[in-house]
Amino acid sequence: MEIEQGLLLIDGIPVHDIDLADLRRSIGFVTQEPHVFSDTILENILFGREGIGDDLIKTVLEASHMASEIDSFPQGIYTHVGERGITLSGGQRQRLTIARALISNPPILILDDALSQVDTRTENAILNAVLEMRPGKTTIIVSHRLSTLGKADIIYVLESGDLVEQGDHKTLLATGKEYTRLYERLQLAEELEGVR
Amino acid sequence: MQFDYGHMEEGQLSRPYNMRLLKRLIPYSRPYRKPIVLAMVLTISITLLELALPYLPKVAIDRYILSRWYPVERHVAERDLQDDFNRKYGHLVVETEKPGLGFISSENMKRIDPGDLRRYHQGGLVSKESFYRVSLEAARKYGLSGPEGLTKAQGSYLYVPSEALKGLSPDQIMALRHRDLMGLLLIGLFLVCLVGGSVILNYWEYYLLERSGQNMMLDIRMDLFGRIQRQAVRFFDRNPVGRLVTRATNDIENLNEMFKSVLITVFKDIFLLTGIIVVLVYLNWRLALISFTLVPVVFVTTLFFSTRAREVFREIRRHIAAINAFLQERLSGIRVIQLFVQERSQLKGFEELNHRNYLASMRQIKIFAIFMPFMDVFSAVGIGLLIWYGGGKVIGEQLSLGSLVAFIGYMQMFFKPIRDISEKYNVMQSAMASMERIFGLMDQRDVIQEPKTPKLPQGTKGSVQFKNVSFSYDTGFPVLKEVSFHIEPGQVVALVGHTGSGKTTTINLLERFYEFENGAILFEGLDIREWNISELRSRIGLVMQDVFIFAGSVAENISMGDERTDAKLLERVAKQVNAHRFIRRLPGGFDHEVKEQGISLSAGERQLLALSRAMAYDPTLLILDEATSSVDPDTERLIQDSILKLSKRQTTLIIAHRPSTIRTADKIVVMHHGRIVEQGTHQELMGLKNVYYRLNLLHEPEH
Repeated sequence: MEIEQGLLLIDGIPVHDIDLADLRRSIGFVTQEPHVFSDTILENILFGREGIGDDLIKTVLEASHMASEIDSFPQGIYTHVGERGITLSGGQRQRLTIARALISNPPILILDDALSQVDTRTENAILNAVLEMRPGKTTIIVSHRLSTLGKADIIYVLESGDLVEQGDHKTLLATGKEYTRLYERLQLAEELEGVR
Repeated sequence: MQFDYGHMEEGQLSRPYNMRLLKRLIPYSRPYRKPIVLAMVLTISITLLELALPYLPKVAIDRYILSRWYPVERHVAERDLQDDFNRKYGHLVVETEKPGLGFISSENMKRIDPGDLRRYHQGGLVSKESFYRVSLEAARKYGLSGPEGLTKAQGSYLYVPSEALKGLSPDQIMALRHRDLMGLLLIGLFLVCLVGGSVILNYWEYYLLERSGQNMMLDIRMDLFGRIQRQAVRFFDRNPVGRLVTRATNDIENLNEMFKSVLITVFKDIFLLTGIIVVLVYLNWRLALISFTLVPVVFVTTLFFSTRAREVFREIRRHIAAINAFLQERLSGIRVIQLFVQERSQLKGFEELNHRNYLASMRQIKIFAIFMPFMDVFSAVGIGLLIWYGGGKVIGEQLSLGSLVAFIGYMQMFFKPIRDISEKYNVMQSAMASMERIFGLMDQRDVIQEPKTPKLPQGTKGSVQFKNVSFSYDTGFPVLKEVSFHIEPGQVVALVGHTGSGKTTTINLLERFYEFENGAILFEGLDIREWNISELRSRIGLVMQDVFIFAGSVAENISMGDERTDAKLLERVAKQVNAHRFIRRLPGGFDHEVKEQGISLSAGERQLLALSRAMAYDPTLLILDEATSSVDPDTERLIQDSILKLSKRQTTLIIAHRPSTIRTADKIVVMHHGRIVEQGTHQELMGLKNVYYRLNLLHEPEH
């Protein structure tokens, strides 16, 4: 989509001036809806990119918490998924798409509610591993989970398209405005989930 | 997810299985038995006409063009020979006025056994000298005379020696052989008539078969749709819409293809083949046997090629399925491809698939490109054999030239049916696969069991009772656990809970969209499993969050085809739910044509339409499933107002995840993780400070 007004800069360069392929190559974007192709797990992760070493594949699989599960599949990493293969659960698909994004180690990684179908503990572990893999690199996380918020350097609070607050978790909580209300609400929702 | 585009590979079907599938077609053909039988009779007639065509040139050549007559002089031969001839061939002789002298035509001469003929020649009984039978008048005119002592043959003909015609001009010969010319004209006319007749018969045959076939397909499609409609919702969870559409269109079309092209041509071809064999044996069985030596070779070759062709055919189908799946998957995942800048690699992948398909198609073309000339070669060899062997027989006077010509004609017809039958095998295979899928779908029984003797409670006003109902969509994960609650007639009850707490499932069970195993649901005091399903559903007005609008007029969308819904009722219902104002604003009012999915209407207008639809049936229980969650504030107010009005006069069940809309309900049932955790009025539940309280906090209006 095109921007109507204002500027969007990446490393100081307006996005319009960046070659589209280069731009997209420098951003790893994991959406909420994981799309998995009817192919092997390896091909789904590599996704056409060449010259990637086994070590990196292994690291990525570890980071996305896929490694142990893949070992239990009949042909390991060469197992077919999708129509003519095994069916992955929503969480497994999400983790697979995270591995796909991590493999190119992009300067910018965007996780758009990318682990919504993964349980909280695994999500935590994956996020830690992902952040560990990317020292000095930008990671943007869109999330509705409390546990994620503590990890962020900056939290931007958006409200109906407006940026209403920004800062780290502690500062924002201390101001007691929109973020606090949101935080409480999330807390309430998670609490509610926990009610048996 | 499973994709299916009607290009599935066909497995090998065993023969008894084929027969079982074909048997299932019989009930569908029953109503059209008469036209089908008539068409088959026509097919037989057409085949007979076609068989007659190569025979006509034979008659023309033997009887008229090459017509010669040989004198039979019985009085000169010995008594024994005379008797022998009279007994065997006497009926072939045309007598003359001179006693003992007769003539035999060259056509009939071929019927005399060669050994006998030699004896007759030697005994002087049959002369080798040939005569023409000419018109008497013309003979007189040109001064021709017949054999000695014979001035007049039977009728107005005269037999003159062939030699006598040699010196005459073509015009004179034509005049003399007037009778032969007339015969040729008749045969020519007859040929045209036969072809004309076969054109007419062909038209009727085609028409009758096609009509029966189309009718049968219509019936099967109707049956299929009828059965699909009766299926429970669980069936639709399992069968994607695309697959069902393919069944009702592509697969039935395949079946139609088989019906008209296979069953008919194969029947016709087999009949034609048999006919040709019979005629050939009749004409000359020795020559026929010689021609048949080719049949095994042709058969083996055909089998070889058709097996190869079938393999390639399957391969092509596989490739096409792969291309379809690839396109489907890549197009639905286009965002991922663009995000990862993989357009080029995907193009390469697609090219690979396409290339494989191309190669397979080329293999198929090659097979046919070799097979067809092969068949032409066989046909040529067959005709060559006939010319060599049959030609020799003609020279040896054992076969008439006309018969040889007819033989060649039949030989050319002979190979086409064999080729046809082998070609139709593919169509047959894919039709069988389609049939298997169609009937497989028809056999799926996800139908909700209706009671044999449904009960019908009278004069009740919408009471509902859930008693310890448990349910899971797919074995394993329970969605409802021991759900029990009660709705009294006239009450407004609200069902609240977080997303996924089981509210909508509750309604699905009440409407009998799914079968449940444990517990009981009573509607109007009667177990819903004892209700007639249509009766049950017509008493429950359900308005869902996503309203489905059909392409049609506003009135049709409200009445849903129920003829009892007249204009007055529509007006009243629309007023009742506050929909009349927006409907009146539409061009044409109730007759306004709504586009598919109601895209010309706003979400709120669609919701009002759905509310009218629900109320048009005058339900005893009205269920509103998140009916106001995606509606603009103005329409929401309208809907809220109409709900308030409606709920005063009838039992209403409101489902919401926003508790703000249901504060005034008589009873609020709170669901959580498939269980009912709290029940009571708003005040009571707020006092508990548990789930409902927290839901309220979570959803309280912001700012």
